[in-house]
Amino acid sequence: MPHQDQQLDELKNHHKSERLSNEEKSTMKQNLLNFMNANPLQEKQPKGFTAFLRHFSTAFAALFLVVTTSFAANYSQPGDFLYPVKIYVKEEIPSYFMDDEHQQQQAVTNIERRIKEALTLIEKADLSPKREAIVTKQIEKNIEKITRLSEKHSNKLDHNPHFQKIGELYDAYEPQITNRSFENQLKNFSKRQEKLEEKIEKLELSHHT
Amino acid sequence: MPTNREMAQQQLLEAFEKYNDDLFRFINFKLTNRELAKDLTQITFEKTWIAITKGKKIENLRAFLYKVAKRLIIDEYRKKKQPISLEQLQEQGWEPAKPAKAQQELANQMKLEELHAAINKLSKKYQEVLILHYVNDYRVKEIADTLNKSENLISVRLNRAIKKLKALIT
Repeated sequence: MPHQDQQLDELKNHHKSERLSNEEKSTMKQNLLNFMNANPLQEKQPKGFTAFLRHFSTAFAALFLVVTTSFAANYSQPGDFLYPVKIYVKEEIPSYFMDDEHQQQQAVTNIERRIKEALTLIEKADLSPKREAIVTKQIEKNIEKITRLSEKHSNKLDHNPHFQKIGELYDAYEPQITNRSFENQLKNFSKRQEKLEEKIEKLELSHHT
Repeated sequence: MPTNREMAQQQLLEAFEKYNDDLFRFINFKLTNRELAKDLTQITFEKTWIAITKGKKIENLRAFLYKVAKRLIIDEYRKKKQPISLEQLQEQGWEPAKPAKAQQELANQMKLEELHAAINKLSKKYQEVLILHYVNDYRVKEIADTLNKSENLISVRLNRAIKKLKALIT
């Protein structure tokens, strides 16, 4: 047994002396450094579903935000935080893809929606002056839109069906509208309509002469 | 502030300073070819760098280096299965024993070769611990760290390896 231990010690001593020279080490280190510079670190590329998720995470987050906000906004009332989102997503964005005729139809629908919203608030006794101002502004905005588009096609103005529809809306909802201020707003619209008709007449006259 | 690249480079260069001799001895013992061992030591570090650049998480750099070295040694064994001419061996750095060597030196060499052959007869797990202990002069804790095993397991394995080796060289 001592003989074997001695052999193992010899093995240990023999290999201890085996080492790379300083010159060899220096060359190898330089080679390694050159190799590292020639093969730079790569950006971590996640694989599979993780990569897919990471790649589209921003898009997913944006989509999620739009969907949830739109959903929440759907139930918002004039004066609520998300009310402008509802108007923008449900009414303004779709109108970008419509022709003039459809935009006017859409504007009439919007006015009816505003009237219904105002009526809901009146029922809840929640039509504050601030909310009323918002509804009024929205109705005005839609009327202006119809007016502008009608003027653009002045030769068709003599009998604009959209203004008639607005008048019908006014007649239909008038009995329900108890809030005087809101009613006044609709009356103002009637005055605007009269002015518009006068304008059309003038235009027609100038066209014939 | 150092970049990720600079930090990774620094880490590997430090590992090179620490372990180049150990890895060289480990490979040289298994392949008994100094030049080849030197080349494989270099390749071990290069392959480790490639793994780092590909984003591989390396918790124990020393263990990883040995893992790479072991794979390279296995590849060399596979290549060695084909017969090699004396010229090829000499090109690869093998030197025949010089007649001028003293008798004692020759005797020692023979003893070492006998030991070498005996170690090579053992299973890989015993070879590993013996080389790391007797060639690299690693303690049990260092071997355990290098092979990612517990110290208890390495102690038992080393004991058995020594017993088996002694039985072979009687």
